[in-house]
Amino acid sequence: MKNIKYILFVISIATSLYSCRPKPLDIDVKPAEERLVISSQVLPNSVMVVGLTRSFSPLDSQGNSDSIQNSFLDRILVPNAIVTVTHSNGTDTLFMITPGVYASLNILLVDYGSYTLHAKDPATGLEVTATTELLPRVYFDSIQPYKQVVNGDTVPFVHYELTDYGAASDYYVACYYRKSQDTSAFDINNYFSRGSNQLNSFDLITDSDFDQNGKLVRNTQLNDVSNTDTIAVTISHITKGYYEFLTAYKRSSSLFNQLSGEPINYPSNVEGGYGYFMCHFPELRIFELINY
Amino acid sequence: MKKLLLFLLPLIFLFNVNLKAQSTFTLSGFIADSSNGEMLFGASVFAVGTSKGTSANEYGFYSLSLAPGTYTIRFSYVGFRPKEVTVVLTQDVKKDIKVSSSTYVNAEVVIKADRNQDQVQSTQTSAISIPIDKIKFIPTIGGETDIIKVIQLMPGIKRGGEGQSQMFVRGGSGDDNLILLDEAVVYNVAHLFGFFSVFNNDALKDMTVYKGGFPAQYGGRLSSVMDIHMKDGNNDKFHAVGGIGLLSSHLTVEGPIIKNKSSFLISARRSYIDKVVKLAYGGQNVLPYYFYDANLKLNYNINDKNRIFVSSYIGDDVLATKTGSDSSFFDGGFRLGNFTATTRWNHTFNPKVFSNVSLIHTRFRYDVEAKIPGNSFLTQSRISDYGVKDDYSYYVSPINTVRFGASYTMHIFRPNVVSTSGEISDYLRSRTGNPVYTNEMGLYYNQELALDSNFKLNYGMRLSGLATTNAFYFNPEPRISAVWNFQKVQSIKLSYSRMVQYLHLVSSSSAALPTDLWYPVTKSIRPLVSDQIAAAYNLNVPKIQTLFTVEAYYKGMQNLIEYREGAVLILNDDYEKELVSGKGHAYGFEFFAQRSEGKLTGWIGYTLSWSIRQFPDLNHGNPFYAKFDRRHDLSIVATYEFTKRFSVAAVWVYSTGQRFTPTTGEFLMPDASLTQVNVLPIYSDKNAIQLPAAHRLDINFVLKSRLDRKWMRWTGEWQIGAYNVYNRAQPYKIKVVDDGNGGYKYQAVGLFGFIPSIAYNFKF
Repeated sequence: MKNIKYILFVISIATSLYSCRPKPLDIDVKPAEERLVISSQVLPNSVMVVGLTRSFSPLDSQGNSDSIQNSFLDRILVPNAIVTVTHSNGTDTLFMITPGVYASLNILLVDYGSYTLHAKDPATGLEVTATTELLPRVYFDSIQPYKQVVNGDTVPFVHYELTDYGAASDYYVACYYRKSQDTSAFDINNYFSRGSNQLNSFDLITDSDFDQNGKLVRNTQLNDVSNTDTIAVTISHITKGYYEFLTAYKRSSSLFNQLSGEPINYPSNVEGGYGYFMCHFPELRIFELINY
Repeated sequence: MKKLLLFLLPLIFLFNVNLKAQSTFTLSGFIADSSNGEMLFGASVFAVGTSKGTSANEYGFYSLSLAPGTYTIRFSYVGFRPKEVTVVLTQDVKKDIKVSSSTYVNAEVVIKADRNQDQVQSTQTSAISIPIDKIKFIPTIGGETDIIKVIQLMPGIKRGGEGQSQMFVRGGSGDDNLILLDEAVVYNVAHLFGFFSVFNNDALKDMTVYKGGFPAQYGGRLSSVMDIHMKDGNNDKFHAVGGIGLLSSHLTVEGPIIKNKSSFLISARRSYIDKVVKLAYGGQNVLPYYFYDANLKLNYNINDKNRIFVSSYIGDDVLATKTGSDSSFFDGGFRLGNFTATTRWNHTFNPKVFSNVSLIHTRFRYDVEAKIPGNSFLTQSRISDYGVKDDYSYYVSPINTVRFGASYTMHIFRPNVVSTSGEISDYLRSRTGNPVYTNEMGLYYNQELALDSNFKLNYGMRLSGLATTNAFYFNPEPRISAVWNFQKVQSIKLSYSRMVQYLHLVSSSSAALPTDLWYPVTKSIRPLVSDQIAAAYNLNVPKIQTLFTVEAYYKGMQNLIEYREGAVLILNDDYEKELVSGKGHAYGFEFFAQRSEGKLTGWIGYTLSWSIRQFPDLNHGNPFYAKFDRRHDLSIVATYEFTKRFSVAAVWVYSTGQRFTPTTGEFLMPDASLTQVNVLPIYSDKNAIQLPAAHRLDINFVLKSRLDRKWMRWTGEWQIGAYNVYNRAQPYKIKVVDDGNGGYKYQAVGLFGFIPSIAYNFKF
């Protein structure tokens, strides 16, 4: 019996030695054509901020997986672009804050206003156009954090109630932030007096989530938030297109999706480009959890 | 009115032809292998000097009605010496025949000619029959012949990724194939994630694969039926066969329980990767994985008219890291596998009517378990079928055979039962799963008519239905095929068949994983439907003992299922929301040349094909190629017997590269609140890019023990071979690598290179 074991062992070693890993084969995968990428945000007091970057080949971003290097950013942030927004009151030209970020400080923001963005990159000649709508702001009916013991641990929750705006179809996004001391993060809406926002999670809400009286009651557990943190919660009334974009965004960040690797094509309202041009006013609530 | 006619037509034919058949007597019985009593499916029965003949059904039963007289009847089967018997037909005669296996006798050419001629003359299109003994030297990975891998070398059948057992038939998907083992559905055919199939060759007798022109008794899948029969067990002598390979060993014992009355067969196989690795790592259980399977078959001849068979299969893949120690950080693993059990009762009502009733149970389950201190996770999924089938064959006359029958199966699906404890239960809650009960039914009628000596027609209808939660589906599935023989050795065949599929696989990845689950159609997910037409030209060239076949086919498919973009399928009870429906079509040409006898045997199979899908919710609604659309597929399989003791077998395969959907671009996008930026991928059109072509050569040398030692009951053979002899990567995925110039490039990588193998098989 002992001999059989040794024979098997020798055979397996021999097999391992003689088994060769075949040489990989080079393959040419044509990269997607470079296009402009739009992101945007509006702030109270007539401020609109637009992000303008270029898409890139996956091979370009290799080696930049942990942190984005400045040289790489320089290649994709679009400087000196001509960015305009046309609305019912005329056309505003946005000024460059820094390469890749453009803003207007006195744009007329009105409910149901239609806004058409046009951007041109003088360096490459690439142009994009996108149109969106500013939907009326919505407010929480009530919102309050609370704590509950789950499996022996006390964890924070947020309870909120919301009334459906009542249009034919409405879409909302509720975001949950924790105060972060990392001020290097990309952060336009800095809700906290010191530190910056760190988005922990977001919920997407549609008409089907409301009861027949148009009321929604949610109790959301806040993961990765300690009982002494400062949190912010926002609710925004968004367009159907942006809702679909965020749905794809949420799906792609799912661990299960990353495991299965099913492709996702992100919806876009940017003609000739990628990203999403949107504007919505969030309602903001800030809470010191230590007080609850 | 048209429907009424459709149903009446077969009866009118039956009645008319029956009148003609009044003045005949019937010769009937069973045809078996004289060495072991195994019934020979497809054995030919031919009245010499007439054009009358028939073939044995899957239980070896034959029935041939002839006018009164004296006849010489020839019984033949590929690889067996033909037997001629004189029969005086003045009344119905029952004659059971035993034929002997042939070594090189002069009749060999005759045998081959008969076999090829059967295929030329048969109305059956798009079918391949494989006696298991004929494939045992074909080299495969690990040195153990794998029936699923062999069938993937046939035209029209495409392989999945390297080492996988998945197959894609005529543009269909991986779950479009009905795989039957003694009539029980085998839901999962893979061991070790697809590197091995669950079928142990020692326990198998034969296999027939239908790619089109489906006989009406089959239904339930769109693209193929693989009908595998286990051996019955030697009813004359005790025998054992076995083998020792690098990765697994197997042993089969068979023999009579009551001589020539009843017999048994027990077969078992187990891998020992776990044991080998444990030895190599000084007793540490580094790779605690193994698989096993076992087959059991019993049969009992009650009397001339009644026979009972009981067969069963059980097999599992097991990964168990349990250490039994309280201090271990991780315990867990998985267990997945099939169990099937079939009880069949053959009954011969009279020399012309044969029936079989089968009671069938099949079960596939998987359990995945994980434990770390303070947390535990267990998920279980099951599919269980309980079914009954009743089939009748009525040999009305030599030119008219009728088959009809019914089947009923209750499917019980119980997916995603989850049990958790500890902190993990905050994220993943325990649940009992939602059991789903469905009832699938089938009723069929099939008739084969020889309208004259050169023209045969086979037509039938299958009525299928499924009752499930809040939905009932009923579908007629017409089947028709015809053959026109000319110049004795040539024929042209045409066929049309509709197939309907009521179950589908929800797979979380392209590999065969234990998390892949079968689900029934629902109110919103409608049954999958295919309509296939095929045309074939056959040429038998007896001089070189070779049969040439060229086939063309077109298959339209409705209600196909794909996954929504970004679908999350693991542990998802609400999987319906992740599925989208669409349509597809596939077409192609197949060439097959096969030589089954002589020193040089083998085949050449070539497929030129296209498979296209269109889904409103995928690829912007534009048509796209199916993942396993490969333009060219070529297989060359050859075995050469240098001497009675020494042979060499080789396989060379080539196929156009597999399709995939790569990330071709990326962009930066802030999240919902502009607080952080993520890199989002841009994908190519769906399945728009192809991996490089795959080709490889496998080889196997066989040295048998000396044949002159007749006194020795023990005979053995060494098989020494190699997979992927010239070490070419068989691409299955791409990766990004440094290009050596400060940049990066894509490379396609393969899983296995050159792998030698050695195995010793014995028989006593």
